[in-house]
Amino acid sequence: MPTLFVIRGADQGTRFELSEAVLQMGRDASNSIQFHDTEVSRHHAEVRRIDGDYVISDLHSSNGTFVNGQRIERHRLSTGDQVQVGCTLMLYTGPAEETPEELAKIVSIATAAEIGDRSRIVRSFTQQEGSRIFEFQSDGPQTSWLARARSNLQVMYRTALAVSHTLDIDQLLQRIMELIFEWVEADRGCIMLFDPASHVLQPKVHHTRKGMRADQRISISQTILDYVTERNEGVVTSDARQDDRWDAAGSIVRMGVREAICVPMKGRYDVVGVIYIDTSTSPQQMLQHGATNRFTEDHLKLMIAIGHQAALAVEDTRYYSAMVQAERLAAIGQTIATLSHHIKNILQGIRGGSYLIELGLKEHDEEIVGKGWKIVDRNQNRISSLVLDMLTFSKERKPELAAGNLNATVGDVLELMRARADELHVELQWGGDASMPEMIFDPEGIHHAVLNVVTNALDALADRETAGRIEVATQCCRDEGLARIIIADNGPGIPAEQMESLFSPFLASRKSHGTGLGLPVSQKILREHGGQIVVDSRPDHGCRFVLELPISLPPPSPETTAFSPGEEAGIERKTDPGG
Amino acid sequence: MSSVLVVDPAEETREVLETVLERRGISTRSAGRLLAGLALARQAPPDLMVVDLESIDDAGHDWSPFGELPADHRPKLLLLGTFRRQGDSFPGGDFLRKPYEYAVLIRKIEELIGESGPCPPCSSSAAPIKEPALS
Repeated sequence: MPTLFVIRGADQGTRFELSEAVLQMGRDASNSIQFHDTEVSRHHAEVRRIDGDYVISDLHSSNGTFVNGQRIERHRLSTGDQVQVGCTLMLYTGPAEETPEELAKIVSIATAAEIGDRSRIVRSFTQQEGSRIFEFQSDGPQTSWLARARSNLQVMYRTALAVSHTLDIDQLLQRIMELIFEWVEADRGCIMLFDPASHVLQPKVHHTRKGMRADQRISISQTILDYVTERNEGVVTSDARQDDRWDAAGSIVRMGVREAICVPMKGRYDVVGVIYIDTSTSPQQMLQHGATNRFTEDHLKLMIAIGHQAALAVEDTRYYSAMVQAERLAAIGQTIATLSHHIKNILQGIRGGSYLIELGLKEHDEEIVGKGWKIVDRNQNRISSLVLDMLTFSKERKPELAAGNLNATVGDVLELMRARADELHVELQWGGDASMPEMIFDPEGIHHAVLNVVTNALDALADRETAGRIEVATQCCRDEGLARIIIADNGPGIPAEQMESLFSPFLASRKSHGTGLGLPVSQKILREHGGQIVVDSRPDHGCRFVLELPISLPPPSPETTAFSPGEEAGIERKTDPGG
Repeated sequence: MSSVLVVDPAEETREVLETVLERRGISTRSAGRLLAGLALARQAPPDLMVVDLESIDDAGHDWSPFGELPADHRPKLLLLGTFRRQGDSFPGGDFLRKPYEYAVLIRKIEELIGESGPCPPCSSSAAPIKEPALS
């Protein structure tokens, strides 16, 4: 689904799904997309679906609507466009061109027999060999133009490689600088980037030729920097005067000449910085070799190309960092919202119980006091479970393995839940596999995992008009080396769109009574055992959770009843059949 | 005998309200979801419906069954929620912000069922919810 993802501003981390044909955005709560940004007008802009694309239009806002840095009245959005309203910057992602299903129909991988393919490989190159296309070859005729072109291509190829795999901007710039110094005989160089907040150029890296003092001060003319960044043009400069620059009698020969190249780092949307290199020709060199320019037009062109490449990489790295940060903030926000909601409900329950206790005490009615206390007690258990789930989920732990009876553990869960099932008029059916052997597992952990799944099933059946039923069973599958706990309900099932995030923490649906931690915790516990949870669900046909764990039999010694994970040597253990 | 219908997903809230209101001589029924509550309301309209906004199903905010109740039997509404939902078309009603004190909620319920006269008419473009000032 097309989205606008806020990567900067008060709503950073919020992803707005463009699910409707027309969405208005602004500060006012009546907008489909509401921003908490005082620089945004009440009714700022509108996004409208036209011929499958989304078109954004400004609604005469006070501060305007910008796409990729340009103020717009109306603009057809493309994936990657940056939309700015007020201080809020968003990244637009359009609809997928083709669904995976559509693509699978067009592109398929088939065996030669299936398609009668008689093709054979006639030549092959490794990736390293392929990259040598840019290398100078002395065995063929080479014009100087061709040689330069190949050399330039090689530089660009290496630049592309250098910028392609780092997410650290400083490291990235350092690589660019080193690459430039490999290719051009510069004495000193630096890269400056615009600070995103102050929009002032700030030096990020500098480099000096080997053998030169590294602490030499580099002074760059503000006029040249302004020229480069405002006009988006690269320049070659020289401190020699044009009219008498190579006059052997002039001051230039006495002082030498300093030449420099300064190029903009122009990204997709903006100039993000500049690259500067310089070199000096001493009076002695001038007298020996004559007065020639060391930085040529070719150098400048290639530096401009490198500057562009580097800028794209800087932008990508910044956006990636912003996206990661935004995703992190969104996840924190989601966690806080879910926890707050759950804790608020627990507190409301405690308040209710306390109110009844107070009422019962005032009216000397023990029955009311007892009722109130039950509610308080239930909520104490809920807060304990919440804390336990949070600890289980957040801590790396090893299961506390012991010999036990899986049927007994699952049976305990059902006994615990029977009263609640009765309250909800849910039939709880139990079918333990009599052939289940005593095995090694973490009884408390598995109890917890099963309890979470059964609780979810009960929640799903609460308030249903049809008779609720939960069937719980165990299966010992010796040939597969697996023990299975099956929990099936006849509830509403899980919507297809929720299946993918079923085991993501804190993503419980609004209808759910839970924290959104139950299933992730259960899955973690099963994984700690080398097992897994398999879910099968069809809307309106209920859910089937299968908790699978490898059968691990205890050693024959009857004295040994408890094991730590390190003491498992010698225990027959059949692991995941898929592995 | 006055009657109240409590629609709240939290069974404890339903239990507390049922216990307290019944003791005060108010006939009380309850449901966990709005649609189930509206079905109960159609069977026998109460004087007041206390609706926690969390009881509204994800399917939407379909209050049309409420509107289908005969105007002279349409119950008054008391909505409970953390935030008043902007842009939603709720029928006219009072609003109590969560988390609330039960004593305040009970007092509010008694005030509302003590009031005489039919509920203000409601439609899809409903009257705004009266939200009490924050103390």
